[in-house]
Amino acid sequence: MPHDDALPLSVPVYQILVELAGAPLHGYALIEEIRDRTGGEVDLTPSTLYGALHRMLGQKWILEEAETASDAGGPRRRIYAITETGREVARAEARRLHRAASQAVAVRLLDASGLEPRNP
Amino acid sequence: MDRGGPVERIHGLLVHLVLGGVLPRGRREGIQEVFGALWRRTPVGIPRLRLAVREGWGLIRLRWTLGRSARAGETRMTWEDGMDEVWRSLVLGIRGMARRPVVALAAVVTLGLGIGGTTAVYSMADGVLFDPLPFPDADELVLVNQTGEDGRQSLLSYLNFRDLQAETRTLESLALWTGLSVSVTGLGEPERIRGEFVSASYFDVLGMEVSLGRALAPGEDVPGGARTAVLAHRYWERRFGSDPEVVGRTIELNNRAHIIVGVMPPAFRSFWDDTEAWISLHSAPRTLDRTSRSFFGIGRLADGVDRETSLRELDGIMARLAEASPEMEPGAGANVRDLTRWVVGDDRRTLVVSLLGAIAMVLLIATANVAGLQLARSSTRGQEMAIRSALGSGRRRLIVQLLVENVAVAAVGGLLGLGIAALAVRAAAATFPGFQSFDIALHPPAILVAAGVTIGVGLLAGLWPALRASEVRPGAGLRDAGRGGSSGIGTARFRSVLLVGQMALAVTLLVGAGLLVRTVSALNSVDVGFDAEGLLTGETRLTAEAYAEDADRMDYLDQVLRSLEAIPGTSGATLVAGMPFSGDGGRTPVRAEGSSLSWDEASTAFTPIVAPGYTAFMGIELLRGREFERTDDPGSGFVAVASQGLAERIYPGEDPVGRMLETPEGTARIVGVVGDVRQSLVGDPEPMFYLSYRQVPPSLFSVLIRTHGPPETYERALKEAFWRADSNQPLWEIMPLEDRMASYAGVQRFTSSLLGTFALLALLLTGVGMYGVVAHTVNLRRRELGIRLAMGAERGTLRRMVLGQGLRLAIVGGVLGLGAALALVRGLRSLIFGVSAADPLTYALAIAGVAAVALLACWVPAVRATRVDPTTALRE
Repeated sequence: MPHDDALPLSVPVYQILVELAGAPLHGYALIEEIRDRTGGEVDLTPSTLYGALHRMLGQKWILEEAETASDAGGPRRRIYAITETGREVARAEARRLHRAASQAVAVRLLDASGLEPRNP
Repeated sequence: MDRGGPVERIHGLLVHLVLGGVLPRGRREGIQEVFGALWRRTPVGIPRLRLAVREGWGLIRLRWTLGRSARAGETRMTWEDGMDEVWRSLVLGIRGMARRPVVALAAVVTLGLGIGGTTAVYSMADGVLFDPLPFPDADELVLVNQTGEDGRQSLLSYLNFRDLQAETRTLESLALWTGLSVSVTGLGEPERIRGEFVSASYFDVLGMEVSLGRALAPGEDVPGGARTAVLAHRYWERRFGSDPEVVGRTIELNNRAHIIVGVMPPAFRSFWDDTEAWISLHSAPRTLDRTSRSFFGIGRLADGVDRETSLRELDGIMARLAEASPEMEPGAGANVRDLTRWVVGDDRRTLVVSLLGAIAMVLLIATANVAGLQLARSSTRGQEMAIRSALGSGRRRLIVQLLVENVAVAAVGGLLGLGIAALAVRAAAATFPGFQSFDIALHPPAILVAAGVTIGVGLLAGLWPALRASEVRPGAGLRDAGRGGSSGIGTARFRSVLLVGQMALAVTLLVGAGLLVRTVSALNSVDVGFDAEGLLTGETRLTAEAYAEDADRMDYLDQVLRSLEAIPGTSGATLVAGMPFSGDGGRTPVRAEGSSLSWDEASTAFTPIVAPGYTAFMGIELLRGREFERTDDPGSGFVAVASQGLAERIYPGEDPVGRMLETPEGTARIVGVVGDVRQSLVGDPEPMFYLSYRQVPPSLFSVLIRTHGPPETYERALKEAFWRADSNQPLWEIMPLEDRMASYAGVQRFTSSLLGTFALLALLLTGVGMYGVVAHTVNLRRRELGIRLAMGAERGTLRRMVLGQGLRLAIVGGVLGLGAALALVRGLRSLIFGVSAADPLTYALAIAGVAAVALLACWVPAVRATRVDPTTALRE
């Protein structure tokens, strides 16, 4: 596994990578999308988000692109997109999480659908 | 660009402040933008509040993680490296200080005084305000009073105490206490000691244990129980030579045998400083019924109960008692107060708070001075810093260097300060009698405060100079070599601002001190109406069984007087019940003969009982008629001598001599009118009339002799003469009357001397600071001054220019200080007497003082300015 030394990822980093794996997004949309997808479980604050983005840019897991402003005079918004390395890392983390979940199923802590078994 | 509302703008500012330098600008803007969008879409109220809190916390955490990873990435500095750097800075700093010992010494002394003062005052505040009662968990202790229908508070009666004690659930325990003087006989010299009559629960409530024997036991505090006593350690040492066999012996208190059951530890102090014995409650010379309210109730709150809850419960119990027992006044209730607050009192609170304020000002001045000194140094050290930074010292390293140096200076100053504080605390505890009951000493918390203040001051004084000095750009610094360039002028400007602040603080302190000094001098110059010089006084209370008959008592008093008059080296003796400044004596309603006033409407007069010749002996002015003579005795009608104040009140515009005055107890013929005499220093003299002991013999009275030379040297002679009449009567509180009077204004004297010291200190420090700033600017302006001189400027003009600079600062500071003083002296108002809190003279003098110090401090640099040699100055 090439990216094992980066694991485990922090919750914000993992969620951002997962989100960007779908489509490039700007900061505000990232917060909204992650909150909606996780049902409010992961709700990033702007500083947490940009702290994470800053580290991920440093690791070259994501790229920063300037979106052309739709309305003239408005600030140029920055769009973030995932790199191939980013995908690899996210995949590695997802595999790790999956392995962890499978082990719980093996000892009948959970059933295969991820729910608690009815009669243990 | 739209920056949005105030919250968004503050957020933006915070983002740049907190994350500037660790997160690139683009990311910071991203945070701002996203936060703005989120904020606008979040509903007003709790959700927005939640967002703000989360974002604030997030910013701090981000700063923390980014800072840590940045440090780790940059230099991978280890803890050892850090210590190494501090150590290196320290060595460099000490070398630097050794090169300029005067600056370092000035900083150390300044900080020593400031830190010493703070620590000393903190210790006092700690003893007086924060932890004044030396009992475990003193904050659970409450004072329990009885209240009447009109809400008036009174002491507690014995039977009500018993009922409260039995019923209360909110108090863990309740005790009864009253302090009274007690005669001790049968142990050699009879004496009067301070005793406390207490319930057996007293020691439990306070949480204190005996060091020998046992405490009072239940059953020993009820009528008919054994009479027992616990001795104070001091008294055990003094009267029993620390005899370990003392337990079980008897001691005669108020002529009744009591068994000594225990001795308290030496550290134990109760509410009275010098209590020498704790005695079974039922020995108290008061009746133990429901109407005689003569005891203090002291309770300890049960776990988890607050004062309010306890108040409601006790108030309810008391109301039920009032309904059930006909002898209690209807509408009675209870009050529960915080014992600590009650013991400390408002005067001492005001005092300590104003002292804390004063010392904070001195400390600020000291800090500003040290900062000023460092700035002066750093502007001349610009070169050193420039070289070091050119050689590759990082900005951080330069800052660390300067801070370490400052903290080192502050540490030496702090050590000096601890020494000063130890001396000051000892002096304060010894000099001011009112403070002896409090545990004033340098405790670990005070030392911690000193350490904290030291480090704080070191960082504060060093931070600004450090930031400035580290800003030097190598090139500019090197080019400026030796001159200090524009940054020097900027520094001087900053120092001027510091100086204006110092001036303002000094003026404020001077005003406070000035008002108190004038208060004390007003108190000293109060005309008390008699001559206290050379008077030695002692007090006695005849034991209960002795001289029960009036005639016997009169004979005894005659004998005492004759015996005292025979003391060699004195010019007479007298005796009086209700001596000025003794706190003794009674009052009674009084009206003119045939007056239609009811007793409620009549004037109240203070009624001392005196010996014939008292007026002449005391030097009280005789205005009309005569004073008492020996022939005014039980065989003749009652006579009285009225004070001027009383005469004017009951017989306005008439000659009262020969008229009668009426009191509820009877009537007396006025034979003379004398000048008013004060019973205390503040307020107006009370109206009074005197009676003669030859007609109304008292059993509690003071004896006075007028001595030649120091009165205290006559103590032995006074005792011997007194006991010649009866060696079984106690004599106590033997002291010069002037000492008694002095203790009356103790708080004012204490504060004025301390505030005075602080004010002088502030003035001195401000002067030093002023000198530093002006001398420094003169130095920086050497070239300019040289050019002016070369162009033909008068030396006088230059001198005036420099003096004017100092004076301008003094005036700005002075005006600011006046405003601050006007606002702050409100806090002192309760201590001020005989002078207005806005007294113009005091304010004018304070300004004049600061201006004078400013001029003095500028004089030397001003003269030096005129000695600049144009040619050298220009060549530099």
